[in-house]
Amino acid sequence: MDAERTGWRAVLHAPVFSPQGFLARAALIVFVFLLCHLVGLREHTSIICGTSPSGDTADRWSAALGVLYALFWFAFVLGVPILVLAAGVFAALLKLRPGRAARSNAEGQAGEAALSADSGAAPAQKA
Amino acid sequence: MRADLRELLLAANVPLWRRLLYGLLSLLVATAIWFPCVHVFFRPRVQDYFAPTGVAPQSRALAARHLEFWTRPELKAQEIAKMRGSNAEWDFMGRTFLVLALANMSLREPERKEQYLQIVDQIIDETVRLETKEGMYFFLMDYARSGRYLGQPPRSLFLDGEIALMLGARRLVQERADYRPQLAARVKVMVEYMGKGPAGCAESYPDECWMFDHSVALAAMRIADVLDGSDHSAFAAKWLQAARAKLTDKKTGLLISSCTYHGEHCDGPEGSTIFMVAHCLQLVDEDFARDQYERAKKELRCEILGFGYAREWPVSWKGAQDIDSGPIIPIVGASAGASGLAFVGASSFHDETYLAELLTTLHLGAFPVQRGGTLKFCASNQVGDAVLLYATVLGPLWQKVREKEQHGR
Repeated sequence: MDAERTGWRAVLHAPVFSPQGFLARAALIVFVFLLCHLVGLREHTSIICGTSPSGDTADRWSAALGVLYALFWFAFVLGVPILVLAAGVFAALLKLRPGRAARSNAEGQAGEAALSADSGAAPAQKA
Repeated sequence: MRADLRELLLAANVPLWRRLLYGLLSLLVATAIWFPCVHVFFRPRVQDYFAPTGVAPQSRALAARHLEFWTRPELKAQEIAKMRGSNAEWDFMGRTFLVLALANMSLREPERKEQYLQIVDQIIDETVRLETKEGMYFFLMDYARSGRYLGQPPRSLFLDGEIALMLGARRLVQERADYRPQLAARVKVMVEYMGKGPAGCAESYPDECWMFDHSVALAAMRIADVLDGSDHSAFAAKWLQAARAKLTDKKTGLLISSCTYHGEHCDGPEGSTIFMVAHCLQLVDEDFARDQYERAKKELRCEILGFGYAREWPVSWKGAQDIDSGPIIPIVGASAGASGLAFVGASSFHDETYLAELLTTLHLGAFPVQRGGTLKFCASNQVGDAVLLYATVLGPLWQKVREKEQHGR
């Protein structure tokens, strides 16, 4: 099913624990953070030092926006690079895993055999 | 090739247990790589904030914003309303730290002195006018009204000390005749109230005496001495001796933050107090001030992966979050109030390592906004930014006190 999706749909529907899943979540964090930034939520972070951005200490909405911005900021600077790096490490592990190597080998040899049969030549020996 | 890559990115045909294992392992490795590197991306150049002479570019940008709202009433009203909504003290302290910063900047940049002193005078005159017209409670937290001051008639050392310091700082830069009697009157009343307190302490709030305010008062007295030829050195030495004996936390050797009128300990050592105390006591007893700074640093400084901050309390002291500490970040115990004033301590004692760590944290967690030549930190407020500005330019004023004293001898 996943394999049939393309573009953003494929990215968004990638399994969480996959390199693409990690990249998708990183992209999502970047998108939400940029949205928060562009609508000016940074100004609401004065709540961190106990000052309400609107001057009204009972203004919980404003405080919540400040907390939201701070959370996405830290997700942006800490989470996104980790997810991107992890996606790379994950892909490298998958590429190196023994099962995949053996399967790739088998697939490669089968392909070469098929090619040899077509051309009437003996399959090339692996070094 | 493309299908292979797609298969790899989706981890297709990989059993769930293997995906979980590889995924967690990858996150672990990525965290181990990224966390130690983060500080590199947030560490500004210390010299952008702290210059031995002149004014560093970021200090100028910070100051520009303050000058802007002291020349544009609608901006000032908006900023002050935000702070007074949380704490009326911050309105007052924001004025003090800005005056001190501008006084230092006047000495650093004599060619801009007139511009800075115009704002300084505006702040002092308005502050004194408000105190006179609205009464001392205008700049105090509401609970000041709910108790009875034991020293009568009621006065707050918090107000007298900081107004005296503002007046003294202004006169050190350039004499203003009408400020002379005002400073003398403030010093006289501070000496009187500290002298008549059973523990040698004057109240800032009913039955509350604060170390912060006493150290500010002592610094103001010292400035008055070099300006007007008075001599409060014996008074200050005696007070400090008593404080070292009776107002010190035994476990840390740090001065406590507050006591009752009769000298019973209330709050122990606090980061939001002790760094400013050490800075002010530089004018009274340099060696003791340095000792307090070193102890405060040992007890309160924290550093995680290149990010520095200050705790509000030493590990040995359990305190509750309050208006001075600001919100405390759980687990790490970082306090906005203590970390802000740690800049003042570190700058006073030329602690560049700590300053660099604190600046790195500031750039990560205080949300700087640079716009049109001005700089502000969104996670801060006017008083927080004024404290930071003061930390970046302090030095010349205290140096001038020392020089004047040497010439006086």
